[in-house]
Amino acid sequence: MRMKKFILRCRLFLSRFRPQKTNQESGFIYEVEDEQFQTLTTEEQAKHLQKSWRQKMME
Amino acid sequence: MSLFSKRKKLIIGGCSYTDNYARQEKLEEFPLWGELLADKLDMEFINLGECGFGNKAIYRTITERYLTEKNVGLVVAMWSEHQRVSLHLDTDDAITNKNPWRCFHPERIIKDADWHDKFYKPPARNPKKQGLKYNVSKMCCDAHINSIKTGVLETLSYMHALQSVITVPVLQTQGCKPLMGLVEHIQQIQYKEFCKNIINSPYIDTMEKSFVGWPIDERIGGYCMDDLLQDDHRISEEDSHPNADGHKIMMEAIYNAYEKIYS
Repeated sequence: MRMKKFILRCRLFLSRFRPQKTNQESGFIYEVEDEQFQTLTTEEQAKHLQKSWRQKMME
Repeated sequence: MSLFSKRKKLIIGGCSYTDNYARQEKLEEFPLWGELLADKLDMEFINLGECGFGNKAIYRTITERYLTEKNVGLVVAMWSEHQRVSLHLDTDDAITNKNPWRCFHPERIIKDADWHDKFYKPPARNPKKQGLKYNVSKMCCDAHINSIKTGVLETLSYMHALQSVITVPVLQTQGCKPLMGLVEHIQQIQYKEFCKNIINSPYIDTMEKSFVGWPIDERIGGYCMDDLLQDDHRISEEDSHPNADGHKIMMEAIYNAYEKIYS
C-alpha cells in the first residue's frame, strides 16, 4: 500500500508538467457570456429572462 | 417483459449520465448506455438513474433495490459529482414520498441565487434565496461542511460499501467529472487536492477490482467516463452531456471491464 501511494504521489507530481484538460461549465445562467445580453440594462435582462423562461414552460 | 422471465437483471444507478436526460430536456431520444449493455448481456434492465442525483442517493437507490430484487445478474453504479448534497425527505405528502430525494451542488445553488440578486431591490427579496436547497447550501458553504475532502471521503465510503453489499457481479465508475467545473487555475488546485485525498484515503487499495477507471483522475492514472468523450460525443457545445455516440462509448468501456473481470 505504501509503495502504491508513493507511485501515485509521483504521478501526481509529474502531472503538473503535462497539459490538463479543463471542464469549465457553460450551461448555467450565471455563466452566460452572450455579449448582447451583457450590454442590456438590468431591467431588459430581467424581461429577456422572463420571456425565455415562459417560452421554456410553454414547450 | 414476461412475469416469468428467467433472464437475469441488470440494475444501474447514477445521475444524468445514466438517466434519460434527452427525454427530460425534450431532445431527440437515443438508447442509453444501460439499455445497450442490457441488450448485449441479454438481461432485464432496471434503471434507477435520475438527473441531478448525488452519490448518497445513487448508493441508497441501488442498494435498497438490489436487496429486494431476485435474480440480479449485474449491478453498475455510475457516480456523480462528489460534493453534491443528497437529502432524503420524509413528509406526509404522498407525492414527495414517491420521489423523496432532493439533490444539488451547494456552490451552484449559491452562485445562481447571487447572480439573480441584481433583479431584486432589495436583494433580500430574491426568491432564489429562499427554500430548502438555498438554506442548506448556504449553511454548507458558510460552515465549510462541504469541502472537497468531505465530498471525496463520503463518496469513497459509498463506493466501498456498494461493493461490500452486492454479492453478485458489480461494477462502478465515475460518470461526470467529480468536481464542479470552475476556471482553469482553480480547477488545477482543486483536482490536486482531490487526488491527494484519494491517495491518502484508506480506500485506495480496495476499489481496483470493481472500478472502471480507478483511481478516477487522469493525473494519477485513472479516468472517468467524461474523459472518454470527445466534442462530437456530446449533446452540444453548451450541453456537455453524452449524446448517442457518447452512450455507446461508455457502454463499451463498461462491457469490456465486465468481460475482463467476470467472464
